Amino acid sequence: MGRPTVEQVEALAPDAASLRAGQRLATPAPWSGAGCDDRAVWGACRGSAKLPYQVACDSEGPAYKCSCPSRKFPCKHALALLFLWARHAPVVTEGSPPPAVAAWLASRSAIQVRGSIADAVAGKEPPVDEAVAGNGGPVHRSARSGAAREPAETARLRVEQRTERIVAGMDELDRWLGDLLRHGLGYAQTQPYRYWDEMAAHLVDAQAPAAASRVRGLAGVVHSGDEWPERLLAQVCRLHLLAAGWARYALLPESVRADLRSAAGWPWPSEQVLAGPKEQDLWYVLARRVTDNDQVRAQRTWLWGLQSQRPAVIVDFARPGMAFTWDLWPGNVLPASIARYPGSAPLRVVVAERCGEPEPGGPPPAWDDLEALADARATAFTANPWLESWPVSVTEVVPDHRRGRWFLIDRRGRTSDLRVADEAGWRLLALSGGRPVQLLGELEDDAVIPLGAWVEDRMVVL
Amino acid sequence: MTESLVALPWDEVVASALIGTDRRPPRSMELPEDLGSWSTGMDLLTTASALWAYREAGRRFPIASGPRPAAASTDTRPLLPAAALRSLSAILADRRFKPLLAEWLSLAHLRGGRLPAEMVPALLDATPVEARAEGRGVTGPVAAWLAGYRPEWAWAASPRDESPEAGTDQLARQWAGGDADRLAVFAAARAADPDRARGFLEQAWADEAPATRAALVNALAEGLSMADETFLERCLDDRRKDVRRAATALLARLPESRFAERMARRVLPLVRIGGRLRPSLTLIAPAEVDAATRRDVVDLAPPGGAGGPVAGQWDTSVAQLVAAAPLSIWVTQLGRPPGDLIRLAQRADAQSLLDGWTAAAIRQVNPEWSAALLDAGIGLQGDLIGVLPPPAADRARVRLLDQRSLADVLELLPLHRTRWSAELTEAVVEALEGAVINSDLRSSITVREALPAIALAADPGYAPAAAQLAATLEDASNRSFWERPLAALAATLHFRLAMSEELR
Repeated sequence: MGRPTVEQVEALAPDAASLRAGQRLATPAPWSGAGCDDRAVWGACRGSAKLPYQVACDSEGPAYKCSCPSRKFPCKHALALLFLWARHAPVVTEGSPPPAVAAWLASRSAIQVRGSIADAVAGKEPPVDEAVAGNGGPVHRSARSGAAREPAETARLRVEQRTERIVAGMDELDRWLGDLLRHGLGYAQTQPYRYWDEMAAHLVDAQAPAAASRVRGLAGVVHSGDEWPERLLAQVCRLHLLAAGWARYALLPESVRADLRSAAGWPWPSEQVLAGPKEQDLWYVLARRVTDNDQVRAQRTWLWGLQSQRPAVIVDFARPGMAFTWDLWPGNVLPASIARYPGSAPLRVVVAERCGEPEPGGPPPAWDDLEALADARATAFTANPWLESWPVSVTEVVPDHRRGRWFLIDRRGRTSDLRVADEAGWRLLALSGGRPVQLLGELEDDAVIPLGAWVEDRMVVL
Repeated sequence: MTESLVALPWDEVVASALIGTDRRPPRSMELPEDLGSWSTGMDLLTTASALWAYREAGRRFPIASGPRPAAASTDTRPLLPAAALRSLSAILADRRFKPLLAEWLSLAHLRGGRLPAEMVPALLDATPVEARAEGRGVTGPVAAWLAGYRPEWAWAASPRDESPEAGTDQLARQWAGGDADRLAVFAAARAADPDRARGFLEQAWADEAPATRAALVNALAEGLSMADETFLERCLDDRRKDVRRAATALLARLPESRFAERMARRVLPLVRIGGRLRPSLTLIAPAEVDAATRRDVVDLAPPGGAGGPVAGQWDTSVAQLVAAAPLSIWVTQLGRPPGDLIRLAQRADAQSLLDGWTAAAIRQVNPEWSAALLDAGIGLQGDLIGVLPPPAADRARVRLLDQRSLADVLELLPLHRTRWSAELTEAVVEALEGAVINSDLRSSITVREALPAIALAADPGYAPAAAQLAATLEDASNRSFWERPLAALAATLHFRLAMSEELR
């Protein structure tokens, strides 16, 4: 992997405070003995302690080692060192690693964790509590702990119990939704946060965490400005469709049951995912999005199979204070075989085996206009109406900003709202300068979330 | 299936859902044919969900109503070097690096080159007012285009090198907007066409806020000529003291002005030079101060008693009259160069005359007199050095640094100006070494507090020399006092050195 870019280091920061602290330490003054080679960077950082902290970062993985007591990962010292490396700061001199760092790098090479599902579960990767993760949930932990397999009968019983719980929880949800429409959305608007949170808590008890976080999200929709009733009703309908599905769970075909299971937030054991068919392809990394909610940060990396012409998404989770990896960076192509999660039109995948290194991939594959994007999404939605998001890559769109609203216009004059923070919006606008760009992002509800742009033969991450 | 066909029932569903079915049962509605098996009699939740999924599956993006934005003109310059852009992102990422931005901008502007467009908004937000010209140059046409979207960025839109007519129009526009930048706009207009700019000022004068008038008059220093005399003479009747003061300082620089003539009549009788072989200078008490004199000499001490300035105020009055009078009078009327006159005054112990000349040299920005006064050893009084052209000023500072300690001379260093000459930097680094080794606590603290400003102003070529300073620290108390600030000084200089190499 080697020397990262400044953007990639920024993306590694586990939170905004760490980012600032890392940037503050990224000056030559506190550093001594800093050096780097093609793979790693190391150095000593004087902090408040008597002895300087010994810091080392391995770009393969990436992995970090620091003698400081921080529980952030990577800590500010590691981030600062990476910043200095990324900026080609003269304080970091090229050379060979000191013995302690060399030994650590050698031990990491020996583990050879890269390129498999083991990567996500190895050593220092944060464990994630399945109960708090939305979006279909992370890979089940029992697979990684390597604990003794439970007898098949016990496993079957557990599945049955959980199914029953979710069915009961969904039944309650559906009655709650019915009441909501009986009283009216206007009435719901006047309710305190507790009103939504109680229902969400019941769904957590029912082991349907993804549904719970959707319900919690309703509290925000109520105050989302003009046309909120329409938006809230759409979310209510979406939840009803989920509850209605679970009410018929036993009668549905296996693939639809899998869709329902993911939509409720019931995670899949990794061996079950990996047991499915593999797709070997050249996977173009379209975009990367990190979301923060309910104590868990989720990263969605959108891929496009250059041969199969199918989209896929890798979802990673991290506890607060923990970082994601950087090597699947937008604009790169990874030759790999992947396994899709069960379901009717499954988007979510895990990398089963890498067949090479990620390499810059040139212009990203794209839809010609918004119409083509809408068609592709509609096909996927028809197969799985619980589908939440869809990748965006459209050529020749012009972003614009009027009366506080961000939007884009495609080459045929169709338009979509852009859901974007102002800072990223201005960057996107500057990139276009009023001329068409190829926009990458994610389609969420009725708006495009811009995540990157392909301009003048380079990928710019927003 | 078009959207409009299902719009009606959906609107109806939303209306019922909003009020609640208890109070507003859904009216009967025509569902799309494909949903024929559903009925409106059903529970609203089920009907709404079916409709929602139906609409969702067929959702299209609407046709845009407004026009497309106009495109920015293309920036054909090559990109600035990657290393320089990395430095810029470091500067923008950390508040402590912000003071380096102005220098980065001026280096980048000098070198020429384009910024990646996505960095432009952050740079527009961070550019300090005094570096806007460079900011405009570096950000280029994209910034001018973006300025149309945000009033805060309007400054990025106005190229200064337009035709004079356009310049005045722009002046009028920015005036109307009460733009904080308009003094700079006026200064630029004055530099381009002094008469046109003054004409504009005369027009706008009556409506101008009193508080900014003095600054505008000061701005006439650029391109000053006899053409400005009438306007400046009128300013002497302005109600505000600072306006009158600014006008007299400029009029004193116009030897042909009516003001210069009046002042000559008042001050020449004060000084008499006698003696052929060994000339000597005598000061004579000023005559009664009349109203006309008070009009011309703004700060003249108030009258004490009937017959003009009383004892004790006498010296002050001489100094004030001399300070207001054009310096050119002395040389032309007494027929001697400034150096001679200063020597004579020193010999006669005429301190009030020397004080007056010093103040006049500063107010009238007269390098010749400043140099002569500095040569005569009048160095630490006021900012005489600031009047000199930069190379001469630096030479004067270097001389002072040889004679006095760094703490004493600190105030006379151009701490706000970046890029000192190598000579000045070298002298300061040497003086710093002295200050580090032996100076009392008070001076040490003064010098240590000035280090961040020195780091921004000194010639970065002296980064290695600054780094070696820390090595000279021997005893422990000295070390704990100086080590970190000196390391920070060296680091900043190193960063600036790298910056200027990246943008060479």
